[in-house]
Amino acid sequence: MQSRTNKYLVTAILLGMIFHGSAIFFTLERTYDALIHLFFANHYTTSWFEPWNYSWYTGFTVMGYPPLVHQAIAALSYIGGLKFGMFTVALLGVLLFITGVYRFTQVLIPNKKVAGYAAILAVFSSSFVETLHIFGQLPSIIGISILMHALPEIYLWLKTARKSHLFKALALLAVTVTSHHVTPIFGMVFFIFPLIGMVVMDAAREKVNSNKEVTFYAFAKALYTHLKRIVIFGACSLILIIGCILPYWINTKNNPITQVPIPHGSRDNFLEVTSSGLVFFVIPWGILLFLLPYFFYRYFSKRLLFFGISFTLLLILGTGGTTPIPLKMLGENAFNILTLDRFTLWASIMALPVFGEFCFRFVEGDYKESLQHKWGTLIHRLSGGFLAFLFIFIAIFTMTLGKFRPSQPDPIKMTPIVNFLNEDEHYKWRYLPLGFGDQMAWLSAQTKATTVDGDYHSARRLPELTTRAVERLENSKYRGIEGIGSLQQFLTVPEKYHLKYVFSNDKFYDPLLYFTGWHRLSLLENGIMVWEKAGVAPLPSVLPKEEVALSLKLLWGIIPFLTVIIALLLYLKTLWKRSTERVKKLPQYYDFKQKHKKAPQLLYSSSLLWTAVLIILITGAGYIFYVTNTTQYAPENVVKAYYDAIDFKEFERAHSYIDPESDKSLSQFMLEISVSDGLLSSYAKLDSISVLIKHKTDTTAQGVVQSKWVTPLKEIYTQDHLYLTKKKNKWFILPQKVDPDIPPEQLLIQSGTTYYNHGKRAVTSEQTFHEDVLKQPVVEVLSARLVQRDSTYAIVGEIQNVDNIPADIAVTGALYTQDNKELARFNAKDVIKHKLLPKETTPYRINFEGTAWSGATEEKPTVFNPSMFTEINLLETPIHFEIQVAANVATTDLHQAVSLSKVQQEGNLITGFLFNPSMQEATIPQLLIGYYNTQKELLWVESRYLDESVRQQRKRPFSETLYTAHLPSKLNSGLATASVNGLPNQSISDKVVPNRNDAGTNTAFIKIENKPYAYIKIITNTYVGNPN
Amino acid sequence: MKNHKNIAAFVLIIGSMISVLFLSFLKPSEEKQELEVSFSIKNITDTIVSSSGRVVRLKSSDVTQENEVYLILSGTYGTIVLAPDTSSWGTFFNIPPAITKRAGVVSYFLVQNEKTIQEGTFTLFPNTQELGELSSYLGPRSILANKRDYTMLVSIPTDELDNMLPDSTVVHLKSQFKNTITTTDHILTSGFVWKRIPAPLQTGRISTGSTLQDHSSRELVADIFPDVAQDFTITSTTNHSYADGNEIITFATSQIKDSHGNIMTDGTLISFSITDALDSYWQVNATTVNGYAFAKALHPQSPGTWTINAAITGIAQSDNLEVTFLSILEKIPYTTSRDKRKITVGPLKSYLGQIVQDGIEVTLSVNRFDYRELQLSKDGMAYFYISKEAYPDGPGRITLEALGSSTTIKAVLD
Repeated sequence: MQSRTNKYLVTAILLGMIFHGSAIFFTLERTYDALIHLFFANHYTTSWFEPWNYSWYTGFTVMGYPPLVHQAIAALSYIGGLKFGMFTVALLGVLLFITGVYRFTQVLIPNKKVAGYAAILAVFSSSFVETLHIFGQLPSIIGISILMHALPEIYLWLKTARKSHLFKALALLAVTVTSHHVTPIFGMVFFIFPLIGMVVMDAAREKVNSNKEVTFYAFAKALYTHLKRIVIFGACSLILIIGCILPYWINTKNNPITQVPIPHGSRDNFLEVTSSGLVFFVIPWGILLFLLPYFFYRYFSKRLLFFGISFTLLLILGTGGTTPIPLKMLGENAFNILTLDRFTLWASIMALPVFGEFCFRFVEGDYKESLQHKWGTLIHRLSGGFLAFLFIFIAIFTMTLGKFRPSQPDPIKMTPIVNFLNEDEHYKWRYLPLGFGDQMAWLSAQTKATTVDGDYHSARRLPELTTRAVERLENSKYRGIEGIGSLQQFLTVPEKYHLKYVFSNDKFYDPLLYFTGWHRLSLLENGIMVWEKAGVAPLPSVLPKEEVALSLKLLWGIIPFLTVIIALLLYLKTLWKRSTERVKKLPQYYDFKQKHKKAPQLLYSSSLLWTAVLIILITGAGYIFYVTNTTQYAPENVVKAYYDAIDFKEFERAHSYIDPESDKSLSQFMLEISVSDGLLSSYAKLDSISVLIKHKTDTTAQGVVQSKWVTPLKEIYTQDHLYLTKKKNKWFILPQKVDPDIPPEQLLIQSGTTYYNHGKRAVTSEQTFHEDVLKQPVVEVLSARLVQRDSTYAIVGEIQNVDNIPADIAVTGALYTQDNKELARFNAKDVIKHKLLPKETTPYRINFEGTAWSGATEEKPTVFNPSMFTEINLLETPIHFEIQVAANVATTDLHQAVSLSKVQQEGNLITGFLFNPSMQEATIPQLLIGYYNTQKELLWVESRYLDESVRQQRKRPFSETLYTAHLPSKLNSGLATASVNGLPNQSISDKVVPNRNDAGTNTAFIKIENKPYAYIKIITNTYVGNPN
Repeated sequence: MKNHKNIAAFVLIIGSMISVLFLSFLKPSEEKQELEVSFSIKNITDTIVSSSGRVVRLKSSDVTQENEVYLILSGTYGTIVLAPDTSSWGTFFNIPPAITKRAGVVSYFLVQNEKTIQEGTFTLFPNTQELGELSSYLGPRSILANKRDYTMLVSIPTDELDNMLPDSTVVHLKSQFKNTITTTDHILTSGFVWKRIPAPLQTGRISTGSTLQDHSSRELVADIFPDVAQDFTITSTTNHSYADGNEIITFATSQIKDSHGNIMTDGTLISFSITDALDSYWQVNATTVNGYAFAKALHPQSPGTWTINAAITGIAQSDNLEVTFLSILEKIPYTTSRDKRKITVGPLKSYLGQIVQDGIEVTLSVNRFDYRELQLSKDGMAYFYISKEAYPDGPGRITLEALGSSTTIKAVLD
């Protein structure tokens, strides 16, 4: 037979290059994984043979991920940079995928035209588009593509026992192994096992005259004759899977994944969490869903029987938590570690050959004739056109999904951050990006500075990260408060990790940063706010690492590329041989070309039925979607839409739900929005909402809205009463009242003290000169008391800045046993005022959180309890304690923005209002409430955040519940072990304020009746969001 | 397989034994040849440090590869092994600058074929002629203007090569405060001199410096901050004394000073605690500017007397100040609907008969606790509606409260 180029294949490749090649530049950088692979690639460009990377998680090994794709990007980056490497590898992936589908199809359905059809369909396969353009899983794509290339060779080896095929098959398998570890393992089960079954089936068929004669006995006989080849292949591939990435397996054995599983959408119940169902089931299957009956019909024919079984298994596994079957099949452990979307990907890829065959038969084969005969030409063509349109529409929709529902924040210019880190040796400390999404990987790739965070969760090493099911610190927000707990611990004890800088791309985190003692440094030109913590020591110049044997390093660095080179050489040899042959022989599987049988009536009718069912389902889902999402269709809808609009700050949309006949114009509405600020209106994310509609008539209703908001500091539960009205078939909300309070003065005039610190006076890259080092402010610990409440311990007390300059204080407490063995050490988190003016006093409370002691197997709580925190498991009772205060000069955030007014006890409540006499809007006021006994000894301290801001010269009433739980008991107290800046507290006390009196302490107490404590004292602290 | 291993081990052991024997026969004959040549150097003399290194000549120049000769030096910098260099004028050891730059005692060992054949020590003295930087340190960098506090100046003179100078060199330590310059001479002990500078009783800045011959240190300064404050007095100013809830009252302190008359540093926090007759509590904070602090508070909405006390916590306080606020409203005007469920309060008027500013709290309660509602006035008016859910039909005592006044209506709601 004359060798001819397959026109369909060429078309497919050209289409693929144009379609994916042009889209990739707009999508790939916004995907979940691509930048992570880029970061790994960057690691190989700087140290090809050294697997230890300091950039993430305080150091981790890159031997946790097969290296080929990363090394390929790294090698290409020497030509045109990292991103050039990434795009080139991605395009290579597209090419390999299309040709892979072509070759795979030929084995299953030995027909070049069908294979060509399948290749064209592969270009627009929505699961492939999703994997590449939404998830960015380059290694996975390369892995499965190479595996598909290997399948014909495996077939030929088993069938013909020619060694050249075995070598080629193994070479390709080795490339697969080094690019993705999961693909060959599951590929073995789901692709290679059925292929072996098919080969044996073909061999059995050869021995007999018709398909019918292929009995179980004949099959077993054929299996016996091929057993040796199968075993040889199996053993070799096992050796390859283990040998090629031996360091990976050794690393996995040494550092087993003992972390709390991270929730993944592909494990959800798709009927309950419809968004997961859409992303992990509907989109990857797309139009293929309609053809399921045909797929089953073809795959359960005798030759493809084993692929049928495999296809069914993949289909079921891909349904995630919708049915309990995948959980039972995989077992609890595997189910929670694996992401199940890959099963759907493989199933949809496996469907492509048969889909290609269907399209071939539909467009130019026997189905065309029979359907045109049945339906007429027009309907056949129309339905074909409709299917093609739908197919391409879904592909394009999938590709642009990232645009409509962005999974990542807008692209961030990294240069200002990189410059900042290079400036003044800032890279000597660790940093933490917040709100960067997966772009943090791109930042890490560009700087030598290291972070405590990271983007490859299997490599997490810090106990704070491994015991909490949060993927990255920086997307903590989306995991609710649990994730934030993990972030809080980093921010509270930053010196433990040498963490000094936080880059915040999301103002959501700002209040948390402020109240844990951080301050704003500068706003970079790309809009990123830099936060700094004073008094953190730089990283030591030598960091710990886990050393691995040189031989493993060499294996890791050399083998992946070696496999590619060997595979290329083997193929070049074949190519050379083939180019010299004039007449080409078709591969053996072409002997099993099947004639297209007339489709059975059952298939036709079941397909019609299935299509009808699907259409009904889609229409039904569409209707439900319409009813629940049409904003003004029902009172509940309009309330929910209103809250949604407020949550996403789409105020014009929110205003459109307000009764148009009320005199609330858009400008008035916007004005009212612009003057409302604070924790609830600026830093809260709507977590859940429930609407109760009362007194509903035809035109009016009352809505009671109970909503739960997640803020960085606490959860807020609100209850609002809304009045609704129906006009012209649409429901509207009646506007709410606003605070009419008028401030006394129009123009405020005030003078005050401000501070500025040069840092260095001489322009030099050297360390600060001796004469420029500021003295640490002198603060004095006034009291300290170790208390116990049930099984938790805390240290409470008061601290005063006795210096003449403002101080930024960090307070560390430590617990010791009777024999002075240290039990626990932690910092005061937010129950303290970190920035103190000269002579200012603050109460403090140090809670001991048990990160360092919590076991990796601990289960995460199912229901969140806001007052819960990770308790330490102390083996002994603490007897002694220690307080260490580190003070540094503070120059910012020293506002005295609110003052307590008309505070009085009303039963269990303490009420009053805050008045803001300052020039700054008090965005988030905090009340630090100290509880004292009759001897005026401090017993306990609490922190309360007010939900709304206090504007200049305005009031904000508050009403807080007094402490009602039983008071903690005293274990120890005294200042003998207190130290400030490394000096004993007593020496400071003797020197600075030797004759301390009761000035100001007596008058600041508020008398409390009928409580186990006699007095309270309230200190105010405020976060000023926009200082002017 | 095991047998093979054993045989291999056996061959290995036998082989190595034979080679050891063979070598032991060879060695003595070699040593005899070597011992014939012997080397020595002149004793190395004491000298001052230099940055150019030093040359030590070998007396015999017959150094061959077989005769391995080394000079080992051990000093303050560390230990170094030198191999001989050869040039036309002989064989010598070149002691590198790293050793000769640093003052101290250096031990040397001449080693031939791993045997010490000559040893001794020499001293490198600091170069007192060529002086380098005069490093000074001062701390703490801020002290308080009292008799308890002091700062300390430390000076470490060095030569050009950063070696500390020998004891008994005289260094002049100087300090200046206002118009006084103090100079004291100090003799170096263990390489440095130090001096305590007692705090002056006035705020300001102490400048310090030190000199040695014509070499000088950099200027180092310490700030003198005021000592703890003394008690002070407070006053208040306001535009009127009516309890209208919409005027600012300013409290001012007298100039706060320490016992030596120094004014408090700017930014010192003063807390004003206020209580009224009903034991409600206010707290206003202010920071000082030039010793004065001004705190602002909002007039109350009900008449009464405030007792104000200002303090620097634990240190100083003012005497108590009393301010009385007068009522602006005697009776609350209101109208009710026929069913007594709709109550309109207002117009609320202020001390000139003008309408009160928006935002005055008006409270309505039925039978004190059965139903309670708070409204903020707008244009002097507040509107209430008691729904049937909130209070069923029947008699009730409706109480209205605003601006410290209250009115009770006995009504039957229907």
